[in-house]
Amino acid sequence: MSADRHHTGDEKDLASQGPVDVEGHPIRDEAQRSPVLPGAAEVAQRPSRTLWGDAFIRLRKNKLAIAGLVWVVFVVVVTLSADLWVPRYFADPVSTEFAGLESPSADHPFGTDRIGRDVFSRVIYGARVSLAVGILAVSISVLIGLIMGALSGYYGGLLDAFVMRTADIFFAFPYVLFAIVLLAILGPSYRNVFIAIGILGWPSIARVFRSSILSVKENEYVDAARAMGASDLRIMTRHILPNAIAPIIVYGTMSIGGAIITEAALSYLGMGVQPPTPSWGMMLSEAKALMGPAPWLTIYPGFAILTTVLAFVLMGDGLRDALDVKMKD
Amino acid sequence: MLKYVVRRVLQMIPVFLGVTLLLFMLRIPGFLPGDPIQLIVGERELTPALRKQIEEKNRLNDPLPEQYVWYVSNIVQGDLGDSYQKGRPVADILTDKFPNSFRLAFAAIIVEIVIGILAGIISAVKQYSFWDVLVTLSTSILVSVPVFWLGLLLQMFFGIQVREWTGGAFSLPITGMGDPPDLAHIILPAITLASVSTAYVARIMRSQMLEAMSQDYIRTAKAKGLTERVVVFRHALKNALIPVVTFIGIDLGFLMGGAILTESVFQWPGVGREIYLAVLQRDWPVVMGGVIVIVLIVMLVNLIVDISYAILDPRIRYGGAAE
Amino acid sequence: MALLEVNNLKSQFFTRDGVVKAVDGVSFTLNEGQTLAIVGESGSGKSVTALSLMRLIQEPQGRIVDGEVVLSGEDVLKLNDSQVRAMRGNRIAMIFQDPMTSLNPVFRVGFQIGEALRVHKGMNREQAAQRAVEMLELVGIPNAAHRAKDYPHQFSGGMRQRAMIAMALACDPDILIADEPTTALDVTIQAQILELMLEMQQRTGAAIIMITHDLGVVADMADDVMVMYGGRQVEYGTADHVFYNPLHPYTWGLLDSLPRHDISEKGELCPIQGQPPSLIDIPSGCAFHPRCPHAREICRTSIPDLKEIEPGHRSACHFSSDPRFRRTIAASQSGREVR
Repeated sequence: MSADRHHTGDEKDLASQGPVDVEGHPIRDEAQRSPVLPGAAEVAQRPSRTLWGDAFIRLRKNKLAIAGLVWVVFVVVVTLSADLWVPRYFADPVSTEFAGLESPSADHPFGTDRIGRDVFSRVIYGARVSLAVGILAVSISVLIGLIMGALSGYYGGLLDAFVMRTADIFFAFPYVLFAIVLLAILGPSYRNVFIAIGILGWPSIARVFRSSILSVKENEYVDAARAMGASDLRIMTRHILPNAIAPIIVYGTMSIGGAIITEAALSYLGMGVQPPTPSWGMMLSEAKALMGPAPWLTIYPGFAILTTVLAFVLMGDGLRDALDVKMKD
Repeated sequence: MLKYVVRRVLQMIPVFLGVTLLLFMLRIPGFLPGDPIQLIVGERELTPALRKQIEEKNRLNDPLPEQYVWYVSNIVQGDLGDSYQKGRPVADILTDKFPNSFRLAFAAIIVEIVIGILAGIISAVKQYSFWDVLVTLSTSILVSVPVFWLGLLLQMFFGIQVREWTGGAFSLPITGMGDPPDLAHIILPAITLASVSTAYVARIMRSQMLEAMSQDYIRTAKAKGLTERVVVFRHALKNALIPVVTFIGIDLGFLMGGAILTESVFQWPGVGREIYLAVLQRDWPVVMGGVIVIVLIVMLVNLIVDISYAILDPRIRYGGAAE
Repeated sequence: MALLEVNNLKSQFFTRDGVVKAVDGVSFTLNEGQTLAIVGESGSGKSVTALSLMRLIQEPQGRIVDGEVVLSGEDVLKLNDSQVRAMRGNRIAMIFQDPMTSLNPVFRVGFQIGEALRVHKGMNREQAAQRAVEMLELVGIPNAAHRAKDYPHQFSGGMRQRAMIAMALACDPDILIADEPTTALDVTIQAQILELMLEMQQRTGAAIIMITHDLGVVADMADDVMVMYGGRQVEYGTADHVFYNPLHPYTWGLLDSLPRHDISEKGELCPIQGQPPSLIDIPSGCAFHPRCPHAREICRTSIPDLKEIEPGHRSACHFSSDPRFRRTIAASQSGREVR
């Protein structure tokens, strides 16, 4: 959908300024344009090259989105390499060699908690849980959402009605309440948290994908492919998915931030990741009783959630603008 | 219009049945952790007579389809079963707690409407100004803040820090709703509950205002010689408000269904916190009954929103083109 | 004294890509009850000219940078905001191209017509509503009292444009600016709307500035015709002058691209080659030279003045005053009679 809109816009711009042939159609000087595109060679095979190329250029100009990306990369690198340096210079996130509360100092940049664990290393290891849950949960949502969206958008009819009514049922539940009930059934654990969040996230993805499919399906090249005997799966993966992928990417990126917040909330309520695995939400729940004497216990883990989620939100905003995806907010 | 309302109500029925079916599955023994009979009995001694009595009362030995019909007809009649823990009817427990959740929801909605809409309008009318940048930045941050952390920060600041600074002379209450309930207790929970939605309202308001201001009919209005104020606040605002009102309405439905996180942080005796405590105690009738009522409220409020949407937007009211 | 006198009007837009010289030195006069047609391709600056007269250029990107717009002896460009509002919709009114989007979807048609009356004529709600119904009757909406309570989406395209005309004429303005009023309508409706405008002009005595890309629309209506290209006026004269003795090669091109039934069916359509110029980067010299089949060196280097070639007929072509050149063009055009 956005691919088409973008394409025409591009043509119009060229028409007003670029060279034209006898019939007034703009002459597209490929040789002249290509060197401008960074990584043109790698995207050259893509079905709608201008969309991705232009999107990349626009994304690079968006400082906030780049800041988000840099922060996510930073967090990933820090958490993945944590085993190499955190225990050596700081403390094991579960060890209690220091008894009792200590306010932030050179040894413990974020202070220690009630039983003497180093908050800095716990925040860093907590990022593992958050990122893993965020990415795994969204992968599950996207997988289920793509299948359901494809079923309802591509085949329509009763199947469409069934899938969309099921999505309505999911939307009728308040989100956190649904997650808690689901975890009460599955039992609180690290694995079940991302499964629960993943299951809850599919209806939005399915709706986004469904509406993309409906608009792409109208195009003549889909009819042409069908007339040439292409199978449904082939039409779906070769013709529809590439054209419907932009909104999914935007939505998925934003959803990772949402999944991280949900994980923190569930862990805060004791329905998520179980101790001793450090998780930001659980750290906040432990900090609550010590809010007065030890504000650092509340401030740092919360700040970690805020910055990480914000990074994904900014990236999502940037991608949305760059890929020219219209969303209902 | 009447046809539209009837159609919307009919659409709700399959969703309601779907929800009850989902919840009914939880009643099937073995689906939920804990033996329901043991949970009902609690500390009492479980005699075969007592077991039989409980099984009969809850129709546990009937065939599943019959159990489902019995279950749904009970819900329709307002019978949500008895709490395992308290022995009281779930309906009574919820009747106690819902008014508290409503209070909080309405306070939060007022924050959303006043701050969200105002911020959005200012941001759009003064596009690219200092205020616009401020609103845009703070809404991005607000949607990334976990509500419960915001609640904790507010408690820390207004409950503890402010008291220290003023030598104990001033601080805001940070738990409960006061006895008798007062305004001071509701301020912090309402702000916390409203935070994310306020940011969304401001964003939607801003983008809708900008969209409306770029429409042809705005140029027509200016060409008539109307003042800038009338153009903005009559011609643009009425168009821009329609999606904003829709969002606020749907949000109201969810807020009224209890806000588990906010109510937990502030120990607000609402229905969300009640359900959360019931989950921890495996008091399934309270959980299931609470969920059913909340879903009903959400659906009902959505219905009202759709109808008022149709009233606000003449294209739907007279076109009959509503989906 | 002329009703409206425009001298050397210049409007520009300041964009990231550069300055768009949308209107670059346009002058004309309009007498009471007269009809002036401004003709040109899209992007020729004709709509911006109209918006400039109404002071409706979107600031701060757009600005009227120079010139005079004298309405009954008063320079519109020197009015303050409240004086401009008192003029808009009252002394100069405007109707727009797309009646589908020009009416506000959430207000009743009658209310929207009445708004100007309440602002300019001090009417109360009832009086304005009453007058709105009369106006709707006047523009030929059947059952007007009832239809005034309808919303725009309940009107067809033609009816909406009638409502727009009713709205524009409600305050009995001296000048009605119509910006491509029929472009978005079906062909059969187009004629009705034009007829309605003529009828309303006879009834109210308003002068009309008709903006169009379609010379066919102009032929029956206009007293004077101004042809614009690249933000500049290239030819200006009475309708007879411009139609029967066009002096500028661009006007020739426009006339030739009209489908005509008075010449033989074998007569081919001759579209003007190429695209309208970018207003950011207007070609040097005569803006039309890259598309002009008769362009010479001087056309590239110097901007031709708008010169009076015969009384009341001006053209901005280096060769307009050269009778031989005019014949050359004529000879190169297919089957066109030259007077």
